[in-house]
Amino acid sequence: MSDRGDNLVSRRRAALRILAVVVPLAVTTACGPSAANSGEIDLPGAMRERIEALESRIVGGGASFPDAFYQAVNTDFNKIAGGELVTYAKSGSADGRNQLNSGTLDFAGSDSLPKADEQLPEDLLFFPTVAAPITISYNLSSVDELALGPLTLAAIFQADITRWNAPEIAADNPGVSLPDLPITVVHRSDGSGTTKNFTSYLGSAAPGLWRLGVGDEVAWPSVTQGAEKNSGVAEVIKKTSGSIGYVDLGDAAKAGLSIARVQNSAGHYMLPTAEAVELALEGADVAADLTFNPLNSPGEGAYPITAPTWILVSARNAPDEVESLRAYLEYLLGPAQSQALALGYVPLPKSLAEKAIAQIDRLHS
Amino acid sequence: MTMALSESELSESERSDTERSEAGLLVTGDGSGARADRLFRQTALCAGAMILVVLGLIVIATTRDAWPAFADLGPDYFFGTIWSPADGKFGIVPLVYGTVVVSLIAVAFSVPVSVGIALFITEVATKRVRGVVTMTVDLLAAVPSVVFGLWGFYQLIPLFQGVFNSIADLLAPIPVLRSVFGHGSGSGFMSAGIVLALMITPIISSVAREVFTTVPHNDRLGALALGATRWEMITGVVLPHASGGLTGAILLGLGRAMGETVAVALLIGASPQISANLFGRGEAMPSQIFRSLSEATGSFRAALFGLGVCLFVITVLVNLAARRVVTIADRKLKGS
Amino acid sequence: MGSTTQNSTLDSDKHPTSQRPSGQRPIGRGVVEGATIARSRRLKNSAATIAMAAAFLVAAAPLLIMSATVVAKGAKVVATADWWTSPIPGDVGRADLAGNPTMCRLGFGDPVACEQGEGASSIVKGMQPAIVGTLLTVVGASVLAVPVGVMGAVYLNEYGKKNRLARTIRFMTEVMVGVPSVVMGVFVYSIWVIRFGTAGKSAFAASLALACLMLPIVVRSTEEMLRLVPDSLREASAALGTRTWKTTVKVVLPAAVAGIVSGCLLAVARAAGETAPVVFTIGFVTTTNWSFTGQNTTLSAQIYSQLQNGGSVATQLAWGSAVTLVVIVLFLTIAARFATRRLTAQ
Repeated sequence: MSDRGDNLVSRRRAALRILAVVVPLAVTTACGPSAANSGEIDLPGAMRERIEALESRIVGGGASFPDAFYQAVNTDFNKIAGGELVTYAKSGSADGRNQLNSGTLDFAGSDSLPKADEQLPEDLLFFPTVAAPITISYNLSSVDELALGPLTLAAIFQADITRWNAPEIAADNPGVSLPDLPITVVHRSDGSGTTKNFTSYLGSAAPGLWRLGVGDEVAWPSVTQGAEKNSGVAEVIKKTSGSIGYVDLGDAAKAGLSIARVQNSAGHYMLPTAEAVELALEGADVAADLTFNPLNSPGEGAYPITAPTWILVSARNAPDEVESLRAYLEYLLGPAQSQALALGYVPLPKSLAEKAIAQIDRLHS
Repeated sequence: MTMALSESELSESERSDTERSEAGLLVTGDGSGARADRLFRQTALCAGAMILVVLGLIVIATTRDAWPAFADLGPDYFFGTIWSPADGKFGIVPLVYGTVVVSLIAVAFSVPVSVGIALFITEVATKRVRGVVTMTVDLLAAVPSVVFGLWGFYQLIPLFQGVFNSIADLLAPIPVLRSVFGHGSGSGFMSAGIVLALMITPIISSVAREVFTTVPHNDRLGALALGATRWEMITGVVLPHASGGLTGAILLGLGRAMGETVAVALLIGASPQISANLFGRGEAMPSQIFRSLSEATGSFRAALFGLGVCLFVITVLVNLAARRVVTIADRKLKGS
Repeated sequence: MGSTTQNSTLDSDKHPTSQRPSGQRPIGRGVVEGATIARSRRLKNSAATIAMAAAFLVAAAPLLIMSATVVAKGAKVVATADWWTSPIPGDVGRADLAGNPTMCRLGFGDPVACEQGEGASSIVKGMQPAIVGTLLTVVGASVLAVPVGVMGAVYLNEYGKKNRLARTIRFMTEVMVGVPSVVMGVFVYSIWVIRFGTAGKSAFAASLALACLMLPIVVRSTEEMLRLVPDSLREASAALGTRTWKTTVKVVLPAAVAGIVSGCLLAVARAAGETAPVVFTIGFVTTTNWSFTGQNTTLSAQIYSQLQNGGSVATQLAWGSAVTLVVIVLFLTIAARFATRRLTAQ
C-alpha cells in the first residue's frame, strides 16, 4: 500500500513538472488557473468539479495507434468522474469512422482523414490530440547506430536492396562496418494506419522510386515477413537477426529494439526524439478544419515519419452527451496532454492545442 | 463398441416401453395425469427440436450474412488465391490451404503418439498405470485452447525458431526439401501444427482406445497361443481389426483440428499465403475470422461470414465421414 | 465412438474393461518370456513396449512443462488480494513504459521515472471483471443449455427412441458437436451483435454462443446416461401405475443424476475455456459488470487481448489469467470425475 502511495506521489510530482515545463495549457483553458488539490490527479478545481458532476456515458473507438494514450487518459478521467464514463475500444480507424456514422460511437479515433466517398455525419469536427513517431527499428547486434535516407528506406522495404552491406546503406553510414547479412523486412500483415502513414511518407519522400503505393495494406514483396499489430512486428524484429521494420515508439521501446536515424527533408539524419517530433508538428500546415500532414515535414530538426491522430466528433449530439463530450475533450486537450510524453506520444504544440480547445465550443445539442 | 451396444439396448427398451405404456393406460385412466404426461412429452419434444432449430438458424443466419460475398464474388471467392481485405480481394484458397496444412501436420504428429498411448493403455499398462495415463490425457483435454496458445507464443516460438532454422540450414543444399523446410521466424504452419497435435491427442487416443478394446479377446489369445509376442499380436490382430475405427478416430481428430481457433491464431503468423515452406507463416480460416470479424464491415464482413459457412461445411463433412467410417468398421467387426 | 474427449472418457469409465474380465492382467504380459522365442523378436517386442510408453511421455511432458510454466509465471500475480478484487488496469501501457531506457533517451517518458530506471511504476494488477464475467457467461450458458439439453435427451431416450424425428435429432446432435466453436461465435454475432450493435455485446450474448456450444454436448452425454438406467426400474415404476413423466422425473432422472451432472460439468468446463465465441460477442470492459447486459469480459478474452498488448505488465496479466482459468476448468473437470465415480459406485 505504501509502495503505491509513494508511486502516486512521484507520479504527481512528475506530472506537475511536465505540466510546468512542456505544456502550460491548464492556464489557457476556460477554467482558469488553480493550484493542485487533494486528489490523485492534478487539474484545475473547476474542471474537476465539472467532471465529477458528469452523468452521461460516452463511447469511443477506432484507431489503435493512440490507444495507449487514450486508455491512460480515460483511466484517470474515470477515476475523477467516479465511474466508467468514457470508454475507448481500438478497432481500426476506418471502423471507428464507420461506427461514428452509424451512431454506435459518440466519438471516433482516426489516424487518417476520411476518403472522399465516405459517409460521415454532416458537421464533422476534427480534434487533433497527440502525434507520435513511427520508428525504423532494426536488429543488427554489431551496429549500434544506423542512419537511413528515404531512398535507401524505400529500396530496402520494396526489397531492391537485400543485404546489409549494400553500397546504398554504406553511403548513409560512412565509417560503420555493416555485416554481410540478408535483410529481413518485417511489415504489418493486418490493415493498419501505421502502414498507411509509413507508405505515404515513402511516397512523398521517395517519389518515383517507391512503387508499392500508399494504403492501409500494400502488396509487399514475397520475401518480406508479415506480423500482426505493432507488438507483433516488434516481436519478430526482436527475434530475427538482420531484420528491419516500422513500429510505433511504444512497442519498439517495450521490445528494446535499436532505432535508426532517418534523413529529413532538410538532409539531416534524425532520431525520433520528442523534440524532433514536436518540430515536425510545428512545421506542418494546419488547415482550417485542424487537419494537417506532419509526414516529411519541412524544418531543420524535424523527424520525418511523424504520424498525427484525431478524434472525430459530430458537432451535433444528444443534449446529455454534449456536456460529457465537452468536458472530456477539454480534459484530453488540456491537462491530459502532460501524460503524452510518458506514453511515447508528443503533446500538441501550444498554438494547435489552443485552436483545438476553441473548437470545442462548436459542439451543440 | 458402445454404439452397437447401445443400439441393441435401445431396441429392447423400445419394446418394453410399449408394454409399459399399455400397462399405464390400463391402471390409471384419469385425465389430469394424461394431460401432465402430454405436456411433459411436448416439452421434451420441443427441447429435442431445439437442436434442429439452432442448427437450422446457424446455417440460415450465417449464409444470409455471407450471401453478398458468395453472390458478388462467385468463383473468385472460392477459387481466388489472394486474400487481401485492404484491396478488396477475398479469395479463400490461401486460408483453406493454411487450415488443411496445419491440420494435416497436427494429425501426422498426433496419430503415432495417440495410437501409442491407446495401445499402452489397452495392451500394456497395469490397472494403476492405466489410471494415471487416462487422467493425464484427460487433463490435456481440459486445458483451454487459449492457454496452449499463450504457452506456445511465449515459450515454443522462440525455441522453434532456432530449431527450425537449424533444420533449414541443414537441408539448404537439397532441392525439394529446401523449399518445404525453409527459414522462418518461429511462428508458422509447423508451430501451429505441433501445438494442435498436442490438443487433438486426447481425442484420437481415447477413440483409438475404445476401438482397441473391441478387438475380440479370443483372437488375441489365439495369436498368443500360436507363440506370437505381444507386439506381433498387436500388429497381427489388434491393428488389422481396428483399422476402420482408427481411420474414424483420425478423421475426428482432423475435424477438431480444422476448427481450432485461438491457439492457431496465436501461432500461425497471420499471413494469408500459399507457401510450400512449412516453417513459414500462413493463416487459417478460423483464425482469420477470429482476428477480423469484430472490426470488419461491408464486403469484408460478408467474406468472413462466408469463411464461417465454408468452415462449417468442411468440418461437418469430415465429422460425418468419421462417423460413417466408424459405423462401417463396427458393422464389419460385428459381422466377422 | 464419442467425437469429443469428454464423452469418450465417460464411455470408458462406464466399462473400462468391457472386453476383459475385471482383475485379469493385460494379455501378453509374461507370455513372451519363454526361451523358445527368437532374440530379435523379443527385442522388437521390448522396443515396441518402450515406444508405447514413450508415446505417453511425449504427450505428458509438454503438459507438465506447460503447467509448470503457467504456474511459475502466473502464481505470483494471482496470489494477491488485488487480483480478485480490483479492476483490470486500463493503463498497462503507462506502467510498462515507465522508466524505459529507450524512451528516456529519446526525450520521452516521465522524467522522475527516467531517473529511477525501469520498473519505476507499480500498477495494481486486478482481474476481478474477467473473473466475474467468466462466471456470468458460464452460468448464463448453463441456464440456457442444461434444461433444454436434458429435456431433449429425455425426449430422445424416453419418448422418441428410434422414430424418425429422434434419429434426425440424434444425427444433428452429432453434427452440431463437430461444429467449431468459432462458428457459434459467428452465428451469435450475426443474429445478435449485428442487430443490436455495440450495445448488444454483453455477457448474455456470450452466454448464447456458449449455450449453442454446450447444448449438443449436454444432449449427448445425458442421453447416454439415461440409456444406462436399467429398464427394470422403469417397468417397476410403471407396474405401480406411475405415469411416464412421473417415472422419468422421479425414477429415471434421479438414477442417472450423477452421470448427467458430470456430463454437464464437463460441458461447462469446455465453455469456460472458450475464447473464440466470446471475443466477438462480449465487448470489453475494465471494471466489474455484474449484469448480463452491457459489455463485459472473460479470462480467456483477457489472455488474448493482454497478449496482444505486449509488454511485461500485460504479459503478467495474461499469465495470471491463465492460472485462474486453468484452476476454474480443472476444478470443474475434477468435480465431473467425482460425479462419474459416484455413478460407477452405484
